[in-house]
Amino acid sequence: MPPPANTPEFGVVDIAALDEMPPDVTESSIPAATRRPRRRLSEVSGPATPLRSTSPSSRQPSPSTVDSDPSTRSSTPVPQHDAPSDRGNPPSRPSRSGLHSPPIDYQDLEYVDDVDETLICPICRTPFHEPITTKRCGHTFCTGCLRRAVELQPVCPIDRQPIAFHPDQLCNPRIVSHQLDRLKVRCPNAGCAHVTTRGLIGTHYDRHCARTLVPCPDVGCDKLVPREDAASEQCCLHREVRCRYCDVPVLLADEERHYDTECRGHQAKCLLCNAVVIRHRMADHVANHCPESQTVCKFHPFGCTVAGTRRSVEAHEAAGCVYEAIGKLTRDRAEDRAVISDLRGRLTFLEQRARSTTATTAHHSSRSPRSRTGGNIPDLDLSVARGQTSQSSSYLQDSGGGGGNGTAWESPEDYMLAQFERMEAKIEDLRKMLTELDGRHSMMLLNETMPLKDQITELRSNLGVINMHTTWLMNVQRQNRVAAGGGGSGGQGQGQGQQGQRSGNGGSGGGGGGMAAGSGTGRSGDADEGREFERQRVHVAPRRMSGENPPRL
Amino acid sequence: MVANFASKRLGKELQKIQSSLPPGITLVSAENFEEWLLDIQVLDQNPLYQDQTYRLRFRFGSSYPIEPPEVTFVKKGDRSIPMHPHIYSNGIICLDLLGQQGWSPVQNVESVCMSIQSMLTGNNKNERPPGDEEFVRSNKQRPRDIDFYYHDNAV
Repeated sequence: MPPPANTPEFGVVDIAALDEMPPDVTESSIPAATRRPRRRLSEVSGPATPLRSTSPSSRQPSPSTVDSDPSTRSSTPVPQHDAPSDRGNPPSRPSRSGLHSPPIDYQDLEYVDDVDETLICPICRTPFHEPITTKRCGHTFCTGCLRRAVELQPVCPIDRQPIAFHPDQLCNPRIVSHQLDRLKVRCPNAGCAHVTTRGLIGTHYDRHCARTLVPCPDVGCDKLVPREDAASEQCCLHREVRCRYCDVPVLLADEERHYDTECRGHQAKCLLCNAVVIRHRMADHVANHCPESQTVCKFHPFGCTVAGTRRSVEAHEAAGCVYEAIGKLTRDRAEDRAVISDLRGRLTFLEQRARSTTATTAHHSSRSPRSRTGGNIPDLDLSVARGQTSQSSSYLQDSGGGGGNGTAWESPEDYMLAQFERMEAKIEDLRKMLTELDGRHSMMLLNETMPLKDQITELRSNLGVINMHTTWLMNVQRQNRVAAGGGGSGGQGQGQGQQGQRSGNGGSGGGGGGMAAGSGTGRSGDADEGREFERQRVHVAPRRMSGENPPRL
Repeated sequence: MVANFASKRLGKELQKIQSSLPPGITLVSAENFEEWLLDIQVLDQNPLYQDQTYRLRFRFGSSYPIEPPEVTFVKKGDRSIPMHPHIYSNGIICLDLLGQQGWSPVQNVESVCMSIQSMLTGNNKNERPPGDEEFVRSNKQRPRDIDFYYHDNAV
C-alpha cells in the first residue's frame, strides 16, 4: 500500500490548506479496506488534476468525500461492496487521459427534505458546497461562490468588510460541513432512486451507482457509458447496430433506451385484451386504455364501489353513476367550506379591530355626544353576533351533507355583515368626533397658553432687572460697610484697607502681591486685614460686571 | 458552466418569487433567464407615485449574481417612468446598488425591487436628474457601461 493517494490532490487545491484536520487523523481513522478503492478512484479522476488546478472552484467529488466526517465514513458500507465492484467493472485505463466520469454538481443536488435556511449560501441559494467562513466577520459561503465574488470585489458580499481570498482570512466551518453531510439527497443520476446522506453521495456516485457514466470498456473509444452497461459488455458500446424490430440504426449503448422509448417496431400482444400494441406503450395501454384491465369508477373518491374491467366500468359510468350527483354536492360543499372559512377569518379580523377601537373609545364615549340609539355598547353587539355565528356554523355542519339550501344559512351571514358594517360606520363616526374634539382641545389649550407665555416672559425680564438692582445695592452696602469697618480699626488700618482694595482692583496682580503689601506695612490686625482683603477680591468681579459707574456713588 | 450558474440561481429565485413576493411587487413575466419584467407600486401616500404602477426590466448577464443585473424602468402602455432626481426619462436608474461597486452577490431580484421601491418612497422632488434631456438624447450606452457618479446619500 503506497502512501495515501489523495495527498497530492490536497496540495493542488490551495483551499485545502485551510483544512484543519491533521493528516494522520484523516488516514488512520479509515479502515484499510476503504482506503484501497479510493486509490483506484484517484486514478479515475487522476487525469482531471490539471483541470482542477486551473479552475479550482470545480472540485471533484473525490476530495469532498475525503473531507467528510471520519465517523460517518467509518460506518460506510464500502468494505462489503468494494470487492465485487472492483471486479465487476474494470476501471478506466490511465492511458486515456481526460476521460472520466462527470463530477457531481453539488449545486444541482436534489434534497429530500427542506434544508434549513441557515445552510443556504446567500450567493448561489443552494446548500453550501465546501463551506468557507470569513474570519473577520464570520459569514459563510460556498468556496466557489466566494472566490468568484471576491475576484470581482475584494469585500465580504454581506457586510462589505475588506477580505482577500487567502487562507489566513478564511476558515473551514467544520460544524457546518458536518450538518451538510447529514442532509439526505437523491442520487443525481437519472434512473437511480438511491437516497443517502450528502457525505456519502460521492462514494455512491463514484463507485456504486449503476447509472454513473464511466469510460467505455473499449480502450480505443473515448465515450462514456453507464456503469451497468460497461459491466455487462466487454466490447465497445458505440458502434451502430440495426434494431431487431424496426431496422433503424442505433448505437449499442442506446439500444435499451431505444426499445423502451422509441422503437415502434417492437410490438407485443396485450395479455388481457389480445390487442397488439407497441411494447413500450404497454404500461400506458394497461393503465388507461385496455378494456379488460381492472379499474374503478371515476366517482370512486365520492364513495362509488363499482370496480371491474374497464369495459364494465365504462358501461356503468355511461348508464349514470348514482354518485355523480353526490360528487357534485361534495364539490359544492368544499367550495362552501372555503367561503365559510374565509368569512370566519374576516369576522375575527373585524372583531379584533372593533375590540381595539372600543378599548380606545371607551373612556371617551361618556363625553362624546351620542346621536344613535343602541350604539352604546358595541361589545354587546359583538357577543350577540358571535353567538349567531357559532349557531349558524353548527347548523351548517349538521345540514351540510344533506345539500345546502342556500337561503337558510345565508341570512345569518348577511345579518352579520350588515351588523359589522353598521359597527364600522359607528366607529368611524366616533373616530371623527374624537379627532374633532382633539383638535378643539388643542386649539383651546394653545389660546390659553399664549397669553400665559407672554406674561411669563415679561415676568422673567422684570426679574432680571430686579436681580441687577439687588446686586448693585448689595455691593454698595458692602462697600459702605467695608469703609465703616476700616474707620473703626484705626487710621492706619483704613489706609491699608484702601491699599489692599486698590491692589485688588488692579486686577491680575492678584492675592500674593496684595498680601505682601498688607503684611509689610501693617503692624497690627494682620489676620483681619488678610480676611478683609480676601472678601474684597472675591467680590470684585461681580461688581465690575454689573457696571463700573455706581460704586463711587 | 458560468451561464449555468446564473440560470440555476435565477431558477431558485423564480421559485421563491412565484411562491411569495412582498406587497407592491408583482412578477409580470420571466420566460427565460435573461430578461424578467416586474411591476412595482409605491404603497404609501406619496402624491408623486400614488396609484401608479411602474414596470422594471431586469436583464441578467451570464455572471449574475456575481455581477449586477441591468435594471431599468420601461415605458409601455400605462406604465410610465417615475419622476425622480435619480431616474432618467429613458428609464435608466442611477443607483449605486446596481453598479459594480455597490452590488453584492447576496442581493437578488426581490431585494433590488424593494430598494427601488424605497428609493421612490423616500423621494419628494418632482424632478429629473440634472442634464436629463441631453443624457437621454446622447446616451447610446447600456446602463452598466455608464460611469455614474454616486454623490447623493440622501435618497
